[in-house]
Amino acid sequence: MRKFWQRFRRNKFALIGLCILTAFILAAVFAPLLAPHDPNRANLRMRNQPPSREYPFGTDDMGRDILSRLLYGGRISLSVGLVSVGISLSIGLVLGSLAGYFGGFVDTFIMRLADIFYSFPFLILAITISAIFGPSIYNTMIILGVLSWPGPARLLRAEFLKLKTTDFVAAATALGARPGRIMFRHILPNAFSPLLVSATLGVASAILSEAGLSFLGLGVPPPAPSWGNMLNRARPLHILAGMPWMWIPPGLAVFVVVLSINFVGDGLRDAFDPRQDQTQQHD
Amino acid sequence: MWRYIVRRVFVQGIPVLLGFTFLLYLVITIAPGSPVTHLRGVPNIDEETIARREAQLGLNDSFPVQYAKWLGRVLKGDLGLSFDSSRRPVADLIMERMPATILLSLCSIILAWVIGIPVGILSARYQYSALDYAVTFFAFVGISIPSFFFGLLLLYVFALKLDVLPAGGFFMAGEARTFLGYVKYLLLPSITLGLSDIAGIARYMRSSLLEVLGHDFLRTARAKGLGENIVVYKHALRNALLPILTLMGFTIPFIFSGAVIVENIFAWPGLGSLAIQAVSERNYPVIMGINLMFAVLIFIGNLIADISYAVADPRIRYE
Repeated sequence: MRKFWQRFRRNKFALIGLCILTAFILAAVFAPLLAPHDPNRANLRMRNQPPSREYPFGTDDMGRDILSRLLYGGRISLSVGLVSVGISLSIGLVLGSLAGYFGGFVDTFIMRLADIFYSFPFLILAITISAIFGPSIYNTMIILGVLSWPGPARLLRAEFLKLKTTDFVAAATALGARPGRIMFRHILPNAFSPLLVSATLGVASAILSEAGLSFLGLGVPPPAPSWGNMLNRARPLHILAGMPWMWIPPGLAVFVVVLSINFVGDGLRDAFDPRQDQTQQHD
Repeated sequence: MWRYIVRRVFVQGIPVLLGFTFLLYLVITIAPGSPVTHLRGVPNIDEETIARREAQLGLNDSFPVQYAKWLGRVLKGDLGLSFDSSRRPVADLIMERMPATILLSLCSIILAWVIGIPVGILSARYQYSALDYAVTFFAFVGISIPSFFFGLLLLYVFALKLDVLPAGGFFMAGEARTFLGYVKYLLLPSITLGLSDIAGIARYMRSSLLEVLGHDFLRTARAKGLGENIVVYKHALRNALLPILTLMGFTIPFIFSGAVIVENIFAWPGLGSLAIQAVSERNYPVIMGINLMFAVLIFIGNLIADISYAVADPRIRYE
């Protein structure tokens, strides 16, 4: 663990990403304490105000405080990211393990199913389903989660295929362990590190997808603030041109959070990968 | 090769397409509400009219019957009629919009390759230099920046502030279709759509070339006294480019997904904007048609990527 941290720390980008990400998570958790105003309270006398002491990031076209909406929007973005990855990981975990462990017909069937999910334009499917079931924060989580299971499933299948032939699995089988025990007690813990990396990167892309869906008006519906639907509200050209405080902060927030998560994911991958030490020696 | 293509189409392509349309049709049918829901509550429309409309649209049939009818028509090349008042054939609607989407997607793919590959090569040649770190950093930026935010930024700077490019759209009525006109309208949307691919390809090219450069045959090439330029560009590059070809097939679904957002930002008259309009109207035949169209395009794209991989690499033989 110590060695792991040392390796992670060597990647400066990852370290900075981790700090920024921590700040965003804290800001989201403590949003009720930090927000200077009620994020949903409209104040028609204070519409379209540029940043000021009272409203550090200005107000939107309904007179709501942008900073408070950003803080609460962070809660939504991060929770959609975490929950949808939780869903895709659970489905991918079960199906990927089954495919990798049993092989044969089970494997073919599950992987064909993965092909079906994998080779189609994710966002078009997502907007279709979201429009049919009605946009909501929970539907967004479920849609993003259910549509992204093939990633973790393929990864786990590959790990299972690799680990299935190792000696310790043969030993466990010889000792009479049941398939379920071998799969989840012996093989799965060894697949932990690639899974963690893929889950981290998965959170980044889920946050991007949520923001994209909300931007199209098919993700988190207003009045709840989400970074994507804040950008959606700023679409009219007079707002884009004349009131950049309404759309630049939420756009930057998505960008900086996703960038930080990607850096952390990359750092984790390098830190887990033992080959890293060898390549460092070569150079 | 032909046997491979035929098998690929019939054994893999058709079952996947069937499974996809089946699942999608199922989801659409079991969802609450229907295309006639909005008619309830409209004055002057009684229950009888609604029932007649439902029957007319074939909504009274059970799911398997509806799906079988739809599939039967599709096999004959008929995608049905749009549910909206125009009742136009879905195939016409799609054909009208498809060229714009394909043009935009192709431009961003070409842009991604033309910029991404040289940048990746330079980054690998000068590994751990300042240039390499800058490329790595900007590659991360490219994959992390949301396309809608990047698109709005470009729109803000080049269309609204500097006023040098149009704020979206694609040739006004009566405007002459000159080459310069195409560039003007395509520039911002295709950069927006291609950015994450530029970043992805540059990173992939870098690691692919670095891996090849570690091989023995290049040590031999260097040992017999070849210059570094010949070693890299003549011997290593050929091999390093091969894996990039597979990346092409992999990125096509992402390009089409991105097109939905980019078309929305730049008011681009393509399939993506048609899709958004259709889902908001619950126009089932159009939704199914567009999804099917994208699925077929992606399948063809993947097939082309795999075939070009085999053509480029004599070691690969599909049986």
